[in-house]
Amino acid sequence: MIQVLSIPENFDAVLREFQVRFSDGYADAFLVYYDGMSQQSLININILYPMMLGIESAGSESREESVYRRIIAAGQLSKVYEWDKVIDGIEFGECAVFVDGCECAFVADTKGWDKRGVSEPSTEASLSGPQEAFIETIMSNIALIRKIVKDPNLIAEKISIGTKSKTPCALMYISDIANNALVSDVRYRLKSIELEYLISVSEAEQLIEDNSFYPAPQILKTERPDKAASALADGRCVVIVQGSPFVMILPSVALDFIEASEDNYVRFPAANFMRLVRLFGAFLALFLPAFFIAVALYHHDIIPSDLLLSIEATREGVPFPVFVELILMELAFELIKEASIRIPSPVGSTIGIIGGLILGQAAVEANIVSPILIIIVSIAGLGAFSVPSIALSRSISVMRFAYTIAAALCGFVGIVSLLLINIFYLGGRESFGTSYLAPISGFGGNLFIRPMWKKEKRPEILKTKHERKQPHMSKKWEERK
Amino acid sequence: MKDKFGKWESVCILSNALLHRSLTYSAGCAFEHTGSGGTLCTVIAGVIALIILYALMTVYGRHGAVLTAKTSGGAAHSLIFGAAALFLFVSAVCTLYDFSYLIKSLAYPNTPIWYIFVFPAIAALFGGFGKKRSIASAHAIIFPISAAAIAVLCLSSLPQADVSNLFPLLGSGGGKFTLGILSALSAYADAVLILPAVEDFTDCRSPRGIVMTAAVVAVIFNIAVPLCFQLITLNRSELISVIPIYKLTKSISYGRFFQHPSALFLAFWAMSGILYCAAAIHYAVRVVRNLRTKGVSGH
Repeated sequence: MIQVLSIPENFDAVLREFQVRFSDGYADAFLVYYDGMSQQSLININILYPMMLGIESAGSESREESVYRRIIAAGQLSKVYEWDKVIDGIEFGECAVFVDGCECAFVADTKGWDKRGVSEPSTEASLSGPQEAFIETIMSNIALIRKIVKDPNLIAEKISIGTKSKTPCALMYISDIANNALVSDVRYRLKSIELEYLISVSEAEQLIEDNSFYPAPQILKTERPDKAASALADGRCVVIVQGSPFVMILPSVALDFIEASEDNYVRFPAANFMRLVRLFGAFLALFLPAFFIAVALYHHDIIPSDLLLSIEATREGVPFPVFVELILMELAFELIKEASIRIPSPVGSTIGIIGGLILGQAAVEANIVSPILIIIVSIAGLGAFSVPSIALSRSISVMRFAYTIAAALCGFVGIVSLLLINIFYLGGRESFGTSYLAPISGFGGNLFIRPMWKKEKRPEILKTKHERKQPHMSKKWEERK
Repeated sequence: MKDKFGKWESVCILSNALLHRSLTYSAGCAFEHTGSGGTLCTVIAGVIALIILYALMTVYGRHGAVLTAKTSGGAAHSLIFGAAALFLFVSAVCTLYDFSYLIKSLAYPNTPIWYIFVFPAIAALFGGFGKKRSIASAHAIIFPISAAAIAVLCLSSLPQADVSNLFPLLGSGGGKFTLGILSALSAYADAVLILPAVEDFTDCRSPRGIVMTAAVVAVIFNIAVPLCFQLITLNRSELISVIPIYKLTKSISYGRFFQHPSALFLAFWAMSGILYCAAAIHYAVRVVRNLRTKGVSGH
């Protein structure tokens, strides 16, 4: 044990030797744990105290049974006969007790590392919904989901990933709802990952997603337990990775990335309106700069002559071609966005003033860019921020450049050609056996949100064991009318 | 069932195939031949097309198994499918060329034609050699948008409509009117796509409902566009040598910002054309592949 845990080089590894008092005499023993990973008070009171000060064992019991049944007072205590499992337990904050004369080690759950408390979601804020977000601890995250779902059929399978890190992951699904093929596929992909260390959920995402090269995200990540619970109730799978405050929802289709948490907590007309606004925002973010370039370079006739002249007048004195001007502005915008993420929060507002006011205004006054272009880039930027998924928002930012280049090359024909290539590509992709563009493309499901009483069936694309979520008449009180 | 298209996808694929040609030449040719009789030609052509398709689908419903590619045998059926594949391939190439040529003359006068040809061709080839699910998804998303755009275009022209522009109904009359009908009928030539595509439909044994729905949608648009065009065109000479839908876009104005939606129409036109080409290439390639792997008699 001293060699395996590199004691004393590992100064946080604690190996405590002591003697256990049995009815037939004393036996040598030692316990091992990592300081900071385990709760010392728990070890002192529930393990060391009863073992050292002695609790009489029954005469007929073996030492192993006495320790297990009568001496160590731990809620989760297991007898482990394999060395690797003992080490895995210690690495995960458990305390291993070895007693002379016993063939096994006693591994007690004494996890007690410092963790963040459950706080408000930072990237998926909701005005009307719950204000809880996942944290970095897998067990807390499972509990956050379980307290919402409250279904005995909710399964949380433990899967360790990483030959060295053995990062604990949980595959969650509701066994009488989720499609067996889907669960098997997710389980198989997770178990077949071979790498030494798995640090975060994003790494796991890249290792199990169907296509890593396309910018569009294929697996939805959420920090909201209610969203994860809702996905489980629909028949999807949820994967939690220790150390990440986000969980993966599988399978995910394109429309899932437009769905905001707020959608389920407001009246459905408002939710649909907001969804349309978000779709419009995404559309603007993706196509507005390209549209501007296409009009400016090829299709002048789409706008009135006087408006075209006034736009051209604002560009008078700008030394760059309109395409270069736009790319420069886009890059400046991305620069500000990146800087605002890295900048410390106390000076965060400064970046807005510097980026928005000083740079923007100064650039216009210096005739480096035209005012119309600043409007175009700002609207496109706002549109990208209206998309609830950060991953999709980033993907839109990347694709925006591609569409702008296509527009510069061949106007609307270039945009349309690239759009169709994108749709052809995405149309053929699948996320865990589900068409990525469903239900937009009509392979089942709906583009718009329905009122609660109309959500009778689970999404068809998930091929769940029980299609119906609620009876045809979920509002039974209406039958009396 | 996983790889079968739903009704929505199937209708969109067929409607687009039956509609895209009328956006370019078919209706224009009808006006070319008969002048003011062009709209009536498209109406008659639409009715004839519906009758022919209904008859064919009724026969298909009875002998579907014989016509379905995988269960058929014999050189005759293989020849039919081979001819269909050849037609689709030639049609796709012609559509791409026509599209590039027209686009160049309308919006890109200083750009070489090959340059305009390259972009839609790449997109069509990408879709054509991709998965069939890609074709279905793209049609299901894009066709309703294109159709809605055309519908808005037609409705926008109605305030300028003058019913007297429809007369004389028979236009030049006689043989030219018959030629006009035949020209308008050529819009439905791409119904050939049904032959290889039908096995992808959810209910491939009795696809009459799907085909007739698609045909009705296409006929409505194929009639509406020339009708609206003629309703707003006072000068007889303007009916000739034009693409009706493009002329239609030139004639309307959406307020101060969008003076003419003609350039936007190019985008929808391009989408419709590329979608058709992708579907045509896809099915042509699939038929040829089947013929090569199973032999002429085994197709």
